[in-house]
Amino acid sequence: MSAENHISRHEALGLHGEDVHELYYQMVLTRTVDDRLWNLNRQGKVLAFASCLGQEAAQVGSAYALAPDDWLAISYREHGVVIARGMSVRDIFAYAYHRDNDPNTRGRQIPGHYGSQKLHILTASSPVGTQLAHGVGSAWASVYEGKREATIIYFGDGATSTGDFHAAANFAAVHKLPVVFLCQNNEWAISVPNTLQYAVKHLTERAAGYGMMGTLVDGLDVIEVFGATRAALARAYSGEGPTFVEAKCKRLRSHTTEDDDRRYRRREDVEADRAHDPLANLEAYMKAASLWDEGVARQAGEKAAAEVEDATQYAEASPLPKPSETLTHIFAEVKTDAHQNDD
Amino acid sequence: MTLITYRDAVRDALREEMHRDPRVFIMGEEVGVWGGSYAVTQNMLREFGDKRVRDTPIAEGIIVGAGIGAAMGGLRPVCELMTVNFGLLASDMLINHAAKLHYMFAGQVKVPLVVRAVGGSGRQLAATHSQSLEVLFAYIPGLKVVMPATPYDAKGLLKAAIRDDDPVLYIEHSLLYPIKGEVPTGDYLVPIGASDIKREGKDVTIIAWSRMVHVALQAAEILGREGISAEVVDLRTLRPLDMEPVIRSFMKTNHAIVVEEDWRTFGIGAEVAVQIYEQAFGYLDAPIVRCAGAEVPMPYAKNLEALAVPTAGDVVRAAKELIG
Ligand SMILES: Cc1ncc(C[n+]2csc(CCOP(=O)(O)OP(=O)(O)O)c2C)c(N)n1
Ligand SMILES: [Mg+2]
Repeated sequence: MSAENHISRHEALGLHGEDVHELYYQMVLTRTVDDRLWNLNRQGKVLAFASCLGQEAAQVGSAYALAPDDWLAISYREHGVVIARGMSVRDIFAYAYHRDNDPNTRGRQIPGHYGSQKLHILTASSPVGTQLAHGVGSAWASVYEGKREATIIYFGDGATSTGDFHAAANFAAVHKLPVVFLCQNNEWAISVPNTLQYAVKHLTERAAGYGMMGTLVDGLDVIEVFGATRAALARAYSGEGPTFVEAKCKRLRSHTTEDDDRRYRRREDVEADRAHDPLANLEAYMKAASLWDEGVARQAGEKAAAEVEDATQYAEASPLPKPSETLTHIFAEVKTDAHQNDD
Repeated sequence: MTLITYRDAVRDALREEMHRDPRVFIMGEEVGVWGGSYAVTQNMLREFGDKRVRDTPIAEGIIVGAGIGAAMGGLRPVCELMTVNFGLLASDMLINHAAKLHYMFAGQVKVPLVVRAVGGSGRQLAATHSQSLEVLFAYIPGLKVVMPATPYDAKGLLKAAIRDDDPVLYIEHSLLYPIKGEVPTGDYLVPIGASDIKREGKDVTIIAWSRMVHVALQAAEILGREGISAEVVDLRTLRPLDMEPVIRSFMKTNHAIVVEEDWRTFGIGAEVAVQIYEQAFGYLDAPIVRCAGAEVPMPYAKNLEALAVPTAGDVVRAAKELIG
């Protein structure tokens, strides 16, 4: 594509040069966080987590399109989403180290399952696909209360095989709910390629079957993802119902730290995938759009590294959850003595 | 006080709570025009409109799952499952999500969700429509399980469930819908997690919940005529399980029978019995007896179905052997 085209793409969406720089920074930060967590895992300091390497554009670009009041129903791989949403790197690391000051789960969940009422991030699901049900319920609540809010639901290609996916898509379409179904098709569900998940060429073909709009995007292109998400949100706000967005991307690492993709992937294929790098993609775009100079890159890298270093030290120095609180929050309120009410 | 049916008690609780709190709404299969598979939500569509009484596609997982999302979003959904047997299709949502989100996210979110379902046998609906599955759900920390036996409790407990900030599985018994009982005219609540003495006695403690409370009461009546005084404790809530009235009663009678429609092995009676052993071993005059459902997928034929569920006769026989 020519530089003219590149420029018109972000400007046509109303994005300024600063927005592009911000998107770039968030993607760099996401990758720096991801790399550090992976290394900390190898050092035995952070237990199992799922990397989002290769999916930064799909995550940051879509989350960047959201309004502050919108809700997010997420899965376990969405580090870039929560960064774009404004979660601090300190909070991310306090969580990964399961510390008492983690505002997400305070030692109660596996790393990466973010949940923040403050940021309107619903509780991340680990049973695959279940967040789809919660997300349509959240959208229902917005409509019920007459609020101009949408819910974006993040899920993978594998999740589209679940009953919850079907039920949620149908439910949202039938009730015309303000939902963006954002599928990050990273081609794999652990070791199972997406050719064993579905028999259509693109998952967006299914959208018509639910009576909703389907949009296929290059998930390596942050601007395109942003644009498609924003268009889907506009439909949601104006009562036109849900949209299915399929962002094709690559999973550049094993499924999680506990997986080893050498058991099921040829190295040449992995190498070939590395060429599909959303960050390199954005860099090329910025160069063509005259938004790039070495200073930008260096500054972003240094700032991200400093944030991650600070967060690592912060988490390491933070206290573990208090054993005395192991049994708190099982029920919302602690019943003292039922019989007092009775007599 | 007015005399109303159990079905009306459930409906009145729903209606009153919906009038009281605009965040309360109903969703489920057949709840709208049809009025619910057991006619509980009859006429409610007309009264509240389709925003608040919402028919959903047939997908139990999404009914409860969307209910969870809506509850986290600040609403107070009452989801109806046609029967608790279909609740198995929503068990992931109940067990892996509703019960755990408040804990896993360190108190950040609340899930004030009520899931209503019909349980139990007695209508010749055979093995997949007649189960007493309460133990599966009562086993789960974080989930409240309520099973009222009378119109009074049905209304007061449902209102309490709707106002509760935790997920509550509220299981109705299909054979109880026509029974009548007194309920106060005004607003009242029955606390979740409080067992109740339904009949006082001194020789034997009979513990039951849901329809088996009526079997226990019938047995107590017969035993009374034969000179055995039975105390009947209705658990009303299975989690949190309130054993205090049971233990207090047992310390007086020194004999206990649990009457349960669910299966004996690994059933709720086993838990109740072991808690009595743990908390009142010194008061034990004889082993605790369980009158429980036969360990069989529920047969269809009327005579066979009747054999699979405890009767007042079974309880009377057990009590006589026990007191001897
Ligand atoms: C209900 C359920 N079944 C199986 C699993 C095990 N599991 C965890 S992740 C995963 C693959 C999911 O693939 P996809 O939806 O494409 O998401 P991705 O990991 O690629 O982001 C599986 C099978 C699970 N967590 N939940
Ligand atoms: Mg995948």
